[in-house]
Amino acid sequence: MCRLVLTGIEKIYKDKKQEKKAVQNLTVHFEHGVYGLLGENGAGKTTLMRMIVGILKPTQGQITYDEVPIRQLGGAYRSLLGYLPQDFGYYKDFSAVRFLNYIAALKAIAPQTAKERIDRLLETVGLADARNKKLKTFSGGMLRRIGIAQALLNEPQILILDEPTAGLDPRERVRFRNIISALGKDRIVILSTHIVSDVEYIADQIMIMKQGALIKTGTQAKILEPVAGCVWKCSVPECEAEALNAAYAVSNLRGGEHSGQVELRIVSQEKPHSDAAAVEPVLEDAYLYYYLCERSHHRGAWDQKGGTI
Amino acid sequence: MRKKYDDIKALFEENDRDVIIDTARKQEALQSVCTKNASMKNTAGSRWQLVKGQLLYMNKNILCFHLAACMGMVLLVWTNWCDIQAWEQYSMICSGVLGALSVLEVGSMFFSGMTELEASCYFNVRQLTAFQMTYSGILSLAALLLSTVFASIRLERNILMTGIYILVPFVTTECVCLAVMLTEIGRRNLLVLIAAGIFSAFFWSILASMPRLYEASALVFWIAALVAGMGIFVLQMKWFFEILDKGEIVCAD
Repeated sequence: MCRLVLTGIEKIYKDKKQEKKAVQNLTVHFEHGVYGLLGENGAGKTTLMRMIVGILKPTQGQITYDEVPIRQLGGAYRSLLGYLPQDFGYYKDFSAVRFLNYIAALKAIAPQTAKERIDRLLETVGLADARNKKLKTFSGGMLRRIGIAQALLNEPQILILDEPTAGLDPRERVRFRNIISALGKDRIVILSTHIVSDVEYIADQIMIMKQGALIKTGTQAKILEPVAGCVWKCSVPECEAEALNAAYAVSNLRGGEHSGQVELRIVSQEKPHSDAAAVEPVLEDAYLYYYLCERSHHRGAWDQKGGTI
Repeated sequence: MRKKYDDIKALFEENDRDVIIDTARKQEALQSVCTKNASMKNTAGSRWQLVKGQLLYMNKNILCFHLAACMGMVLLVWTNWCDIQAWEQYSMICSGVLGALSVLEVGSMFFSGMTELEASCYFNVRQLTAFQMTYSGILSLAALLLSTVFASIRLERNILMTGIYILVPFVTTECVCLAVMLTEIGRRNLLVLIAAGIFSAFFWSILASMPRLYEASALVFWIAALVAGMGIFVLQMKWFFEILDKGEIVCAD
């Protein structure tokens, strides 16, 4: 089985005035499966992905594929890669099919193979009818789909997707979840997203990043384990809801239409309200839980306050 | 070593003696390996196919301008359209424009924002830059050479001196445009690069209008300018490839 190993990875951006540590001392290994990378903006997800792709050179540490440094592998490593950047540019006058042919040429795919794969992928991403349309006429969702198609052109062993479902409508998102899920069976798929439910449905392993560091990794069950008994649901009047919202980490807040009652989902180690009932945690609760633990810099601060903020 | 392999082979044969081999399964496995092997051969294109694919599908907008400028420069002297003095001035401007277009071809990758995607492909941005610099350089130099040869024949100019005169604006404009490309604002804004190219070409057209600048006594100045320009260009390219290797400039943000 092929293994991608990151050892002691660090990335420091040097500005004229200051240094910014985007990724710090990160060690992780990837085998076949879907890895979901969660984290807020600026957590270092994109920098990490760019280093895995080989675009950015780590300031410290090494990335190896099958025990060989990826920089040493060069083109051989890149030929195993499929990458969808968060924002990718394109030549506006290119049609969808020309764009994919251009990328196929860059990926050194033989023309006949490229033609077959382009036809198949355009069908897969639902752009067969728009194959000759110029990219400048495409909507955000269509561009995302063509981006996913180009990432799959070389049938990659390592698929890296930065916000793959951003801009897609719910039906397309479900379709892509299924595609990505199927791909993860025999290759490494790493995807970053803000949409927690995407990770929840398809990731075998979840990685939560905060300020350049991995704060939690594991299967969904492992991630949820410490959160059990810390998620509460209660229905309170609007005036009370505001106070609870200020005092606790509220993962969901839903107002009743006419009742004047508000339904809250709270992440807290103590019971937040006399009417609150413990509920099963979901990944969104866990995400909030770990982020709040880290926000107070150490678990102790969270615990001292009884898990409130 | 040979003996060692023979020993291992004998050991395998001895152990496999009792194993019943299913001929149909064996044939099936062989077929599967052959199919896989054939498909792997089909997926990677030959070198010529790959270059042809690149040339066929790449963005050719700036290449079209480049070709038009090259043809214009050659036609200028081929058709005897202008006299010697006008040719000197026009050729200086054309040479500067060709220098700017050579850099603009590389710049188009950055202006489109495609570099991040291209950097993840088998042929990455470094290789694409080298490829584009090579073909655009060859194209420009071919046009400059043809123009020089025609000028020496039709306008009875010294071929070596003319070649040196005409190369200076080309090289210096490339340096100016590359210097712009090395800045972040220059990579993000096409207009800045075009303005730098126009400025350089304009500078050389003014210089070309000065009397006595093409006399043999001024040759030392031209040679010095050419050598300095080439030196700076080499250093700039080295620097450019170094920062491409770090990768930060290829990222979309």
